[in-house]
This record gives sequence, structure tokens and C-alpha cells, in this order.
Amino acid sequence: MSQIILLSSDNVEMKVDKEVAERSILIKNMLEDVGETPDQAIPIPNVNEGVLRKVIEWCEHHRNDPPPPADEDSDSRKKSTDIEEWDQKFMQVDQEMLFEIILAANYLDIKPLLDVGCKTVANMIKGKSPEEIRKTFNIQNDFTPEEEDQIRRENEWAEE
Amino acid sequence: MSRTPAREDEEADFLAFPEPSPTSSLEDLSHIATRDIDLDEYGSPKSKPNFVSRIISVATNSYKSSTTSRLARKLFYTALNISPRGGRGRQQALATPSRIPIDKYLPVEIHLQIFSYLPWETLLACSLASRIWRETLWHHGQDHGFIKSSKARYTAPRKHIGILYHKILYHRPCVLGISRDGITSVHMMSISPWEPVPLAINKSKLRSRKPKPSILSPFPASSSSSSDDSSADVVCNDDQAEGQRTTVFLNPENNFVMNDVLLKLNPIYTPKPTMVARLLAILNGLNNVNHYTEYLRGLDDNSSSSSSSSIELDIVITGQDEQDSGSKRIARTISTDKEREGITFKVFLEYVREIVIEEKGLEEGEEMMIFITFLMIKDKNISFAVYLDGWTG
Repeated sequence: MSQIILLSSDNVEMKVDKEVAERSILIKNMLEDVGETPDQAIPIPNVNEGVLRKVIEWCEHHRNDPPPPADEDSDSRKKSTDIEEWDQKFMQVDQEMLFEIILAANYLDIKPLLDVGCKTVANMIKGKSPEEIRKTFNIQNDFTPEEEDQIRRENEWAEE
Repeated sequence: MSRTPAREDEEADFLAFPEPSPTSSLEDLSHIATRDIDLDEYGSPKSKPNFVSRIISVATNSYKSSTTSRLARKLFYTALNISPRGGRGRQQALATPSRIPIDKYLPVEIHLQIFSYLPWETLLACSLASRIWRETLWHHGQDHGFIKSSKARYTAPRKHIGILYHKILYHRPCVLGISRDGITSVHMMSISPWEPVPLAINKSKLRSRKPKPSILSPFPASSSSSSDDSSADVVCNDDQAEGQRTTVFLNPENNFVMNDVLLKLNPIYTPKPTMVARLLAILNGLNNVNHYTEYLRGLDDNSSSSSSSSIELDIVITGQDEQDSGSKRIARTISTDKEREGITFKVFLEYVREIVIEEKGLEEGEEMMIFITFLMIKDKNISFAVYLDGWTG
């Protein structure tokens, strides 16, 4: 099986099966454009070694997954936040790594991984109050007192 | 996959942390899960009986030094993870507040995808947690209205300002304060008759049923006087003798042609399964008059003739229209009050059981959003629209 070399942003080369790397639509399209399996390393400038390893690990595990449907129903209200057990364990990382994986999945165009990452974050948000959300994600409260008061009045209905 | 250069000091029973990856126990893949911080120097649970205490000791010392607190945290979790109650370590890792503010770290498109998995209650909490999230939700949490064809023929998306089908507002009756630039206030209605009403508008009937004429009684212009009394710019509610009445004043503070918009909603009716369950008031930016050829017709409900089982919807819009607005009206019950140098609209939705919309070129099998546009001011590219929920019917 042919392999390609990926070069992380911190200049670490990683050999991966082409089939695995092609879970990334970005890489897949690039390889198709090139036509041949390149001998040189493919630079992944936005992803460091640690994150790239995690991404490749995910791709290895999901190498035989069927491709996601091209025209997925975008009715997001009905989206489920269920995550496979393996993926749940995979995403048990600190937030920094979690965000980096999401960004890498977005950059590399690995939609199923992006979905898993976003679902993980969504599950961390779900059911929390605004203050709890701020605390969990280190969000600074940048509303002025007047704005907060206005927002509170606008949303009194939700607190009933 | 192989790694170049390979780490010489990797061990088969190496410790990955803060969490072991699902495949870390697989020997041939062990290198994959190696993190950017190497703990080999501290040994392993198998090789060093006092491994945990050593790690905690190092972690404690590291924690005292702020420069290595991240390492310390990972060390703590590592120790937790290999302890008999190691599961708590995993939970802690997820629960640990990030040093990176998520709202500024991730791009908007990622936020939107995350939001798409959340129910509206949580979305509301998100909108209250962060200004960035609030703006993201208000300005992007909307679906553009379009007509979907089974033949994959789409009309152009309707550009609009405000919220058309917002995830936060989903299945909540609400009224919106709207300026030209966006939403200025949101008032969620907690009127009980609205709440339990299921959406039961049958799309196939909407397409096939022939509308009966004159279901919406044309209004004499003089009867609109109840709504022409204000130019306030606030949202207010007043309970009147006949029942709860929600009055919303939308007063864009700009040179917009529409000086005052008064929307009176009087939901005094006996709820019927087929009655509309949600009412959204949207200020639309429209670019193509011809695109909006919808007509509103109600279908008579012979089972009830009581005036109490109706929705009264008064819309008064005053302002200046540079041209004769007569040709631009698309709702049947629009009247023009030229004496006030403005336009007065009065629409009664009586006994509305179904909304029938005709779209030029709509064919069998096509789906379309149910909405009604009452006002069209072509030259200003502005429309005021009232949307009746039927999308999910």
C-alpha cells in the first residue's frame, strides 16, 4: 500500500498510508491534482505534530468508514449529539487539544472528525447556565452592566 | 504509519496523558498517541512502584512554578488516570476550564456548527455568555428562506435582515424589535394558547387545495384607526379588557422610509390544531419585487364563526413612499392611507386554518416555506413580512 509523508508545522515528518491520509478531503484533492503519489513530504502548515498525530490516529481508526453523504440534510435542529464510544474516548483530551483537533479537522476538511469535535464541545455546553459556560470555556464577560440588564429583561421569559 | 525520526526512548507500556488514547494500548500504534510532553523520565506504573507518588511530587513542584503549570496539570491527571478511580481524571480533563477563550479562538463557522447541535435553551444561554456568541447567533443563526424543488431547482435565496427561522426562536412564538441593521429586541411570548398548538399544516394541501375567495375580509380604511396612534420605539405589553394584547413598536432609527411600524397581535382565539403556532415579524431586505408573488388566502372554517376564535393582526406602517404603492401591494387586505402620507395595512386572519400560498412556477412535489409578505417598498428594497410557521408542518 502506498504511503505519503506529511510534514507538520513544527517540521516533523510522518509517513501514513495514502488511504488514511485521504480521509482528509484537502489531501485527497491535492493528491488527485498532483496525479502521482508525491515523494516529497506534504506540508501541513497549520497543524503541529501533536495534533497531527491525533488526527492521523482518528483517520487510522476510521479508515474503512463509508464516506459521509454529499448532500446531508442540513436540518441541524434534528442533529444528534451522540458520539461513538471510541470517538468519545478519543476526544477525552484537554480543551486546548480539543480545539486544535477541531481546527485541524476544519482545515484538513475531515468532516466526520469535525462533527465529533463540535459534538463534544456541544455536549460540554449543553445544560449549562451562561455563567457556567463562561467558566468552562474561559470566556470573559464583556457585556456592560446596562447590556446585561437589557439582556436579562429581554429574556425574563426563559427564567420563568 | 511510521514516524520519522522515530523516538528511541518509546516504551511499549508508555504512558500517554492526560488521557490514554483509545488505541494507545496497541503496541504497533503506540507511538501515535505520544504527547508533546514525554514522561518517560518518570518511569512507568509497571517499572516504578512509586510512580504515582513521584508524579504527584513532580507535579506539585511544577505547579508552584507557573511556567510549568500545564505540565503539572497533566501530571496530576496522569496520576489520577492510573489510580483505581482513574475515570475521574478523564472527567476532570474535559471539565478543566480552558485557558483559551473558546469564543475568540475558534472561527465563526465552527461556532455555528457547535451551535447547530444545541437546543434553543442552551443557545440562549450561549447568547448571554459571550458578546461574540451573541452576535454570531443573532446574525448567523438563521436559515435563509428558499423554495426547494424536487427537481433541484432553487430560487435565489431571499436576502433579509433579521431572523427568518432562527434556531433560538425555534418553536417559540415571539416578536422582534427590528431595525434596519438587525434585531434590537426580542420578546418571547408566553401566551399559553400558542404553546400547545401543534403544527398541522399539510404541505400537500397547501399545494393542491384551491383557495376560496374572500376569506380574509377586506378592511375598510376607516377601521384601521385603532392602530394609528403611536410612534413609540419601545416594546410594550398591555393587557386589555378583551384579553392579552401584545403591541410591538418597531421604529428604526435611521432614514428608512418606514417611520413607524405597529404590529398588534391579539391572540384571542380558541386554539385549533391547524392554527398557526408561531408568528415571526421580520424586516426583510428584498431585491426583487417580482420574486414575491405570494398571496394570502384563508380557508373558511365552517365549524366556527365566533369572532373569539380568530387572530387579529394589525399592521400599521407609516412613512413616505416615493412612488405609488398601489402596484406594489401583494396582500389582499392592504389599504393605503394617503391622507397620512403613508400606507396603512390592516390584515385580519380570521379562522385561519390553512395558509395557501401560490408561487409562480411552483410545481407538484416542490416544497416551500409558508410565509406572507405584506409590504413591499420596491425602491428602498425593504419589506415588512409576517411569517407564519408552516415549515415543519
